[in-house]
Amino acid sequence: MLTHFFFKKPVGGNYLQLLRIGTGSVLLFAVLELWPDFDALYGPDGVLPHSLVMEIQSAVGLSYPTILQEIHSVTAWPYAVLTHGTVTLYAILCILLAFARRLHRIVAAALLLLHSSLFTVQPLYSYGFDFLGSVALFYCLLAPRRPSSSWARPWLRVLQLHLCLIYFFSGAGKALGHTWRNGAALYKALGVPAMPPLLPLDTALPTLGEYPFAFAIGGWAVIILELGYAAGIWWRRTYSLFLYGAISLHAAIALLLGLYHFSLLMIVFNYCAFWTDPPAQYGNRQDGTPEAAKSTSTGYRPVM
Amino acid sequence: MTTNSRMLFLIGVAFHLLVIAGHNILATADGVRTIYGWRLLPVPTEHRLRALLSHPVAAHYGIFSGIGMGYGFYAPQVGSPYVAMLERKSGGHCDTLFHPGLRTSTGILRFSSALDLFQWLTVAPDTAAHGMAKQLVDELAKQYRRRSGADSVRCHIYRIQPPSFQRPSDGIGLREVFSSSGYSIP
Repeated sequence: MLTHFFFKKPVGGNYLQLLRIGTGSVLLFAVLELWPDFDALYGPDGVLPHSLVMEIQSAVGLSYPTILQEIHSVTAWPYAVLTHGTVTLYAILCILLAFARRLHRIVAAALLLLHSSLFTVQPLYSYGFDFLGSVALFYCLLAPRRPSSSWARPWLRVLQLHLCLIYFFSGAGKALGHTWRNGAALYKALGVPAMPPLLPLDTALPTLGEYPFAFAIGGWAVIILELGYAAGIWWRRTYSLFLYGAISLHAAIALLLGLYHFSLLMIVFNYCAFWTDPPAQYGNRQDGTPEAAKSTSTGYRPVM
Repeated sequence: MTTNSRMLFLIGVAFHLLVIAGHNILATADGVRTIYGWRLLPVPTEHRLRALLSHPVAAHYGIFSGIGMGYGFYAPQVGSPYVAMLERKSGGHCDTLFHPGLRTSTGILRFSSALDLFQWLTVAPDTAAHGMAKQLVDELAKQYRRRSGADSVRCHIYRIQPPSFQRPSDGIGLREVFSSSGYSIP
């Protein structure tokens, strides 16, 4: 059964190309937005000195400050050149990841190393998006290039299971907090958005705060959506509800909390993992209809 | 695809998914202990799991594959963000600015992640945490003074108090938790 789950069914869509284009685009967007502040946060003469950054959080692996110091000591290039060069290199690798299909493993490996040394090895200035970026790059590195490869299906399954674990633990954590159950957490999150949102609710929030039950319903909806996703996404009848529910949740997070990069990456994950491979497709393939035969002959849904 | 390669793949996947689950179980347990003070896992199990995940192989794998974290986004509760204010004095003139010269909202968000360290002062207000917080605030002031050329710079860390259901019209408030001139944490 386990072998059947991972290896037997043909791949549903060209998620591999979508994952590379989506990941490259979102990471490029994120690093270009960060560029004006990159030197202040990651340069040696930034808001905090490298020595203190290293002292606050010990790095697991080779961190960016260490690499920067090593390159500077060897080449004697100014730090400003090195930090701007880093962003340029990162941006070029993002573009190559999206479009240079033949080089995708080399590019994904290089970008993963650079991304990790910048954001996850020494995560003082990092947030969830950076770790999810590593996850996306990790799958870009390991998954095959072509959807017709026999390894395309197994890696899609791993991505799907990973996404289910993300939602399950996110929902379980929220269910354990009483403020999510009474809506206070949702009210607080909307009251103090992480970044300036497209649709700020600050003027409407005092009025909305007079209806706490509405936020309690919202809190429970998020908990049920996240907890139920892990099971509901595999069932044909609830698949659309959970897939579009999750995408809507991320769109709302982007619009109301301002977490654009995180939301875009999660939408890319959902799109690659489940939109290209809906459970209903298996039913069609077994029923012997002309649509099923056509679907099986092409093997995957074409990319838009 | 041979049977051996399939087996190897399945073993690798099992390891991958177990590392994800392990980090998330620990993150959830930490969150529950912080809020409610009770343990989700028995102490020996938690220690064993922590030791397994901090083994160099698992730790490096977790970092490079991006799975070395908990996925409890905004869970179990939404924390109050912290903000840094710098008070600059230069030639008799005094001005203040929030966020030490950062220009982008993504830069400010990342800097706020670093300030989340101050959360530990309220959770575990020990000497080491206070020492680290003091060092961070002093360095923020020192670095900014060096870059701006001001005569003196003082740094204040505020916790943003969002409106509550009890007083929705109060709006967002700021509460000072730390400053470069001394502690103000209870």
